[in-house]
Amino acid sequence: MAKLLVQRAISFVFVIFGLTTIVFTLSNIIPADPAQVAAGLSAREDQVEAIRKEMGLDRPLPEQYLRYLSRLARGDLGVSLLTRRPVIDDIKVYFPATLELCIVATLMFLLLGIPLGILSSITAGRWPDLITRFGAVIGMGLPAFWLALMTQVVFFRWLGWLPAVGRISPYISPPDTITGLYLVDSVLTGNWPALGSSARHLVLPASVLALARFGVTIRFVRGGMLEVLHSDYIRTARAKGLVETQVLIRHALRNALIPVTTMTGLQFGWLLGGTVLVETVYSWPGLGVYAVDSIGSLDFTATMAVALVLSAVFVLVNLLVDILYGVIDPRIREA
Amino acid sequence: MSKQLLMVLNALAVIAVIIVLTGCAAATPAPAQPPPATTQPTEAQQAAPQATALQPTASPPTAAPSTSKTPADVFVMCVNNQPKNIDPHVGSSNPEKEQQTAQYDALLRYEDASFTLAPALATEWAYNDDYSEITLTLRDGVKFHDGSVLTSEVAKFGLERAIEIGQGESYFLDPVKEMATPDAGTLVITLDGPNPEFVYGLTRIFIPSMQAVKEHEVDGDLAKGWFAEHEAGSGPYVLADWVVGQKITLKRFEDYWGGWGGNHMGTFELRVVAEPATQRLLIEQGECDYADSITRDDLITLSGNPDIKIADDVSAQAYYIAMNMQKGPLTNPKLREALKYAFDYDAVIEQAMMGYASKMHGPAPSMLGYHNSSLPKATYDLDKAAQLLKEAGINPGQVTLTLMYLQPWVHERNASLILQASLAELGIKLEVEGLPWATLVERNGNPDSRPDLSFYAVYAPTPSMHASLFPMLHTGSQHWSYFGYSNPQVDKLLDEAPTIVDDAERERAYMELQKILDDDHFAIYAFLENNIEVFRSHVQNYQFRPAWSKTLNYHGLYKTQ
Repeated sequence: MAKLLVQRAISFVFVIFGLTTIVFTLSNIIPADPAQVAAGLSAREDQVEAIRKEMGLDRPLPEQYLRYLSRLARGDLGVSLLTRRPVIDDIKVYFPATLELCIVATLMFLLLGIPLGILSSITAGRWPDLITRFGAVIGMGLPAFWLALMTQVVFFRWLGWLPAVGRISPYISPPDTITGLYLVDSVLTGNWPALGSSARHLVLPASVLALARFGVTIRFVRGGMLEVLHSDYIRTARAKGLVETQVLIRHALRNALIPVTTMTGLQFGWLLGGTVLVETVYSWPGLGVYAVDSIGSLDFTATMAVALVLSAVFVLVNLLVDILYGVIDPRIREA
Repeated sequence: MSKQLLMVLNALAVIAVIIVLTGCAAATPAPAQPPPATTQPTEAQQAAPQATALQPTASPPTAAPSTSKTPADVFVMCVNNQPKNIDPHVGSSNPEKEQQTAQYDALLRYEDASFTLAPALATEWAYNDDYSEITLTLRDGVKFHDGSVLTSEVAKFGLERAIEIGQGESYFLDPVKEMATPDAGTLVITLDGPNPEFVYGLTRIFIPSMQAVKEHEVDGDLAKGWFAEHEAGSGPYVLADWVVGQKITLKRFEDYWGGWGGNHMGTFELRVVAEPATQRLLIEQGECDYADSITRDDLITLSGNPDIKIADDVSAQAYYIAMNMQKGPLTNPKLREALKYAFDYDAVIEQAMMGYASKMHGPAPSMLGYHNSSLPKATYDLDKAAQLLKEAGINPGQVTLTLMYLQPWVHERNASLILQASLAELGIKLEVEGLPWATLVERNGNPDSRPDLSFYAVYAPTPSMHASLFPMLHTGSQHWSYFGYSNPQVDKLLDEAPTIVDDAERERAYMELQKILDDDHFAIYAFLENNIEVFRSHVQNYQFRPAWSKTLNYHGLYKTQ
């Protein structure tokens, strides 16, 4: 395990290094001038040149790259060309919002997908299986953007059960920031009104994100289970007189979980990068809208920073998945 | 987990999906108006819309009691974007103006649609005899949000800061040669020559607290770093809280010089809601008092809702389709003239703008001073266009043009598609592309990537057309690259017109300017957009100010209930 972690830490550094090179190169190829953007698109020539000097954009590219890397090593993601705030401050605000949304969505699609996948596998070919898979395909096929708008109409406008926008009620102050995840921070600071409100605000956006993905989980669980359900050791377990639940969960599911874990790790990564439409509809102040806004306003520093952060998190998530393999399958642990 | 439980979960999942699907079937979607396949205007279309568009109607007269869910003393605004940099001398986009107009004052102001100069931080103003010097008397007892007071030195410092930073609308101060403060209540501005129009520009430059600038200055940056996220103005509302990406809270400034007698709001809350459909939902449910991004399609539906009040004002918001005269097919003036006849003005106003616009005759809106009404009117005439093309020696299928518009703006897209259809009938292919704002400006700024046609929208910051035409058309000016138009006669007129002291002479100059521009066919005058604001019906006293389109008169607004 320790060896695994060390290996992964080293490869993490290499991946980030590679990413920065790609991101830096791309943003310098794009035909738009960061100095112009920073000075204001209607600024005069002399002002643009002054900004260019101030930001060190007149230096040769390799020098700029090295300065960029050295700042990165100190955790300095640069300064937004438009707001002149350090980008890290913006990321500290926007990223936890997306992270919280994605974590809750992932938990939802796992809680929905795994049981339904098991059901599907044990009733394979019969109507519960067919209906489940049909539901899964519908979920995957419905566009998230449309679904988001529909849930607002149904649950906010017609039924009045859930709020339409935001992370928390505008009449409740957000909890003090410890992690930036409102649910966690509310619990840590004992702020129960904030906890209730944040939870209610999470239901719709997380459900919409989950609905698009639980289909994949169902199929993987079903597939994995079907593979093992006819194995000898399952027959043995039944023959030993174990309760069906134990057979399914302790023996069959555990073996089926490896591909599911891989898929979940990947899906979480895709979720992180794919929330912008849902965030826009629900006015969720997350990294998706921040990224699209930065790209649209040609704020290169912010764009590069977002790309790096998302990539880094994706790599970390996959590391977590690898560690989980060890937990699930003892054979991997001992390898 | 038992089989039964799994079955139940399964059933629930399916039921959930069915609810959503029936929700989709039952919900009435807003009717989307597709652009017409052909653009021959019907008689009805041609006859009717002018009247409705030109009527400066306000809302239904009685305020219906509304089921609003916003607190009585908080005015909740749904805005589609938050500002990036609220420095009064830097930030110039709309979300930033939304902040600055609440937090700061200028020396003078326009209070309503009449473009009449009114006192603000200055109570009196007077030119000398040859209009080369202006003396302003400053208002007594004006406090800034940080407790400092307004003196002539503070006013001078504020104007100098704008000149020094040189961004935003600082070009209004270009004629300034020097400023003097003979006493604490008097500011004398000496110009580099006679300039009767200079005074209008004093409504555009905000005055921040000098104390705050000095206090937060870092390495000679004139406190630009601090002012990007904080404010130190003298205006009616203070920036009380900014939850990044979510909302901005403005609270009233008790020592505001304008006083609080009468009806006013205690708090304004600007909540970021980017999606227009969601904004509509919220304002219909009474969760906000104002929504800034309601689509024109939704306006049709909302105008029948007694809980919603729509303010519809004729404005000086001009939409041009700039024509690239530097290279490409449009270097041919007859082709440019033909395009002006190929644009279906009525169809665009009806279909793309849903009737919330009017025709613009000539290069400047008629609301502005010295409008030349003897110029040919904007007319849609495909036969004339075809004839002009023949005279230009252009055959069908010979020419392809590119057009760029601002991507989120559906009305620009629809107008482009209408033009595309008309041009197709003339055998001209039009390629239409929508781009985000920054990319659009970038591409227009580069002669190699500039398209043949480009939408350009501008509203008039002052009653003089010089303010909008100069940045567009004077060689080398800020937005000059959109048009790439260079005419030394026009440059001369633009340089000289504001400096002509004699009124009749100045009128002659502006008339000539408009005629030359029109003869050069530098753009299609697409339409004048009505200024639309959507409120809950209990909102009172909204006042449209053409110089500050798309911002609210914070101090005057209030809610009844």
